[in-house]
Amino acid sequence: MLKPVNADTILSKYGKDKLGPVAYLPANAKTGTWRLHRPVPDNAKCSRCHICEKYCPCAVIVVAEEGCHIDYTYCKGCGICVEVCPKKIIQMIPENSQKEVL
Amino acid sequence: MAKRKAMDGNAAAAEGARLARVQVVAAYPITPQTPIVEKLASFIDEQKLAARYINVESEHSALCATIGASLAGTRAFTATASAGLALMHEITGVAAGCRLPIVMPIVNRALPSPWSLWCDHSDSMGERDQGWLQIYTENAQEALDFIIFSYRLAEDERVLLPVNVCLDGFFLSHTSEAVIVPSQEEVDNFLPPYEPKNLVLDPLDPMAVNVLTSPAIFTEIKHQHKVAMDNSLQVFKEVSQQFQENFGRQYGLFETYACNDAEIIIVSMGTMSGTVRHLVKKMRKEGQKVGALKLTMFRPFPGRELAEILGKAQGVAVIDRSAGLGSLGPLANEVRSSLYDTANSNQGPVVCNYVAGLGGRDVTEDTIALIIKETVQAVEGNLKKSYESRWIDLLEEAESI
Amino acid sequence: MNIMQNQTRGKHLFHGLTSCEGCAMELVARTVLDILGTNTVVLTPPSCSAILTGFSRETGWHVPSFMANLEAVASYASGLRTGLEVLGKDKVNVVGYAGDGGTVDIGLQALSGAIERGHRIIYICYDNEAYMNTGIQRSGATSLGAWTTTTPGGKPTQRKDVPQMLLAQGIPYLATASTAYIDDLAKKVEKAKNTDGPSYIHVHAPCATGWRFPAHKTIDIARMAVQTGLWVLYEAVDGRLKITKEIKNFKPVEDYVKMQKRFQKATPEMIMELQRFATEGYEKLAERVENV
Ligand SMILES: Cc1ncc(C[n+]2csc(CCOP(=O)(O)OP(=O)(O)O)c2C)c(N)n1
Ligand code: SF4
Ligand code: SF4
Ligand code: SF4
Ligand SMILES: [Mg+2]
Repeated sequence: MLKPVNADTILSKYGKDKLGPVAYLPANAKTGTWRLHRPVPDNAKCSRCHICEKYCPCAVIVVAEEGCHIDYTYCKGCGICVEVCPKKIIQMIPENSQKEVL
Repeated sequence: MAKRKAMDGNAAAAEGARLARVQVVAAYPITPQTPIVEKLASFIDEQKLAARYINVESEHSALCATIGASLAGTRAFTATASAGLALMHEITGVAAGCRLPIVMPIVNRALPSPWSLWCDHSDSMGERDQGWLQIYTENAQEALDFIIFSYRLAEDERVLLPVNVCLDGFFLSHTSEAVIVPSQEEVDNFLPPYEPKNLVLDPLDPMAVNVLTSPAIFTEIKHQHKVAMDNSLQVFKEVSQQFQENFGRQYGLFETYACNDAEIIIVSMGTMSGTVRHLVKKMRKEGQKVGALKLTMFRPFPGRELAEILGKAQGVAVIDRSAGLGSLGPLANEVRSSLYDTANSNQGPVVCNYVAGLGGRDVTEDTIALIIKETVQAVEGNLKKSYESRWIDLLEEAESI
Repeated sequence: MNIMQNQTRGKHLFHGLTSCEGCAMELVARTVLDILGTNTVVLTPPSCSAILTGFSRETGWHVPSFMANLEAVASYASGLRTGLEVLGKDKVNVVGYAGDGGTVDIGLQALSGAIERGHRIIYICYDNEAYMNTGIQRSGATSLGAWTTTTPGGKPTQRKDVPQMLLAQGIPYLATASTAYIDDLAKKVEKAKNTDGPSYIHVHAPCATGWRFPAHKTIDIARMAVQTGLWVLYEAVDGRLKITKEIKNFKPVEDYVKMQKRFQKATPEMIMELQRFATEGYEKLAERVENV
């Protein structure tokens, strides 16, 4: 079966032995480095509604029992989650600022 | 058991595709290729061929759909001519670059302008550097045989490239001849069922095909392609051996006639080669040392092998059935360049280029006789060893037409 | 444990894709694959979606994919689908994922041909209203009044309505959708998946880079297009039209336009015309629904 995400493995078993233009490795740009601001949820107030998860273009949010988790390795900092959160509990915090929490 | 049947080149090519058990046909009609695609549609309709026919809305889509079917893992077929081939041009590079063993007859017809329905090689010559193998056939038997032959060649792991089988429009496509049609069993013994060996689109082994490629590896991928082109000369010979064992007919990269001690050799491709041979035979009887060389495989160009034969002659007449505007005819350019090493030793032959047979003009015995006469004169020094093409069948009042 | 291993959404595209931040095209692609699953092959043309298909040895898709030519996604898909059927692999979803340019302009002929032939292919057009990948040039889907690098004074003519053209041609399943209504989109993809024949979904997909707005507004702008009536969400099963998101209180087009710098050159007349287009367009569609 396929690995879920960014398996640092080869996607296609045979791709590397093929002739011609073929990609068989997973894309893996560390797009988190693009971020100027990071979205930080206040999980105490999170209703686990999953809306942020649904709209994150990069699919880097997982809402679980403990609340909203963001994978900062890849989060591009677009701020869409902040806008769509009905409770308005995600905040954009400048990268490298004192307020950085994670 | 093989059967003898009267059929024209188009029917023979369609029959070849049927016997090769192609699984998907995607094609768009264009004169003079149309009967091929009509025949295949009937074969499928009458269940004489277990394949799917895709009625595409253009040649561009025809080749794309053929590629799609090939990437799914089926033996795929299309055919075209002239403007249809030109429309496909964007896609021919994809078929070759993705290393897909597609076979596509080109029923040669002049490219506009002027509009013409009739034969010359300007259409297929426009594709000569796209990385397909190109085979030129002389008669209906060759047309049938080379469809089957070409799948075997294309699908060889050392090759994995698409093949054009070229048929002269009308002269071959619409002229009936006796053809030996092999039985399905005989063909099955020669050509096994298709098994994709390279790129496939299969959810069980996901890969991205035809991706944007960085300069870091682009050259290397092209080089793989070049190696396959080079390999195909050797593979052709092996397939040819097999073909001869299975069917009793033998095909070479080119065919020579009376070339051994020939002082003058005429190089041609396609249907005119029969006329050339006929004249050479006559002249031999009169004691003239002429020979004929019919080139079958134009891509890759078997330059080294050709030079061995042509290098011994004093004069080589190359007949190009396309204008080669702005240069020599494309065939003459190749021949001259393959003879460069011999020519440097100052013993190489004089190479004269004749453009003839454009837009359906017949290349007659008279035309060829004139070609030989002029080449003899060139050898004797009356005509210069010149880098120019001679339009040999031009009407005298050409400028005032 | 890496929390991302619990990821349920969008996982059939890898992370670390270099589409712009907040890219609706990427979100739509993830949503589509969530519904279709891994027994799918995707074809993309040169466009921003090509970023997903990959570069050299790396690809974004968890499923097989093919980089088609700009005008030919539907033709390649036709052949692929046919080939898969010959081999008995009927269950594989064949998906074309193309931009508006590759769909409504250069690729329209191939698309129309493939629909006529009735192949079971799913064609998704993400509409960012311009040729973005070549640097924001006008397409047949660019809005009246919108700036692009080839309509520097604002586009003088209205966009063409390709979903309606295809509907007129006859197609078993057709829908419009929006990046702002992900659940609605998901339902439509599900229907397309279960359609025995060609299906077409045209998804409005705002582009922060090309429309000149801050990326975090992407969803708001998509929603506003729907709420003004400029982009109507509907579907048609065997030609029977149904509006899937009815709008009671329309927002003024002005509100949509002023959220994006691309409309800065639009004249008041153009804005009025856009308003008329929104109001009348919605009404005309609604009438056709009642008449069925
Ligand atoms: C035949 C051809 N013409 C032009 C191009 C250049 N080209 C590449 S992408 C593109 C624009 C595609 O626009 P669209 O389909 O809207 O996708 P987007 O880039 O907006 O995602 C163009 C014109 C091409 N690749 N092929
Ligand atoms: S900022 Fe954008 S990329 Fe990052 S988690 Fe939020 S929606 Fe996703
Ligand atoms: S949208 Fe807001 S409330 Fe809902 S799960 Fe995400 S963070 Fe929690
Ligand atoms: S230009 Fe627009 S569509 Fe293209 S990647 Fe960027 S945001 Fe996405
Ligand atoms: Mg676009």
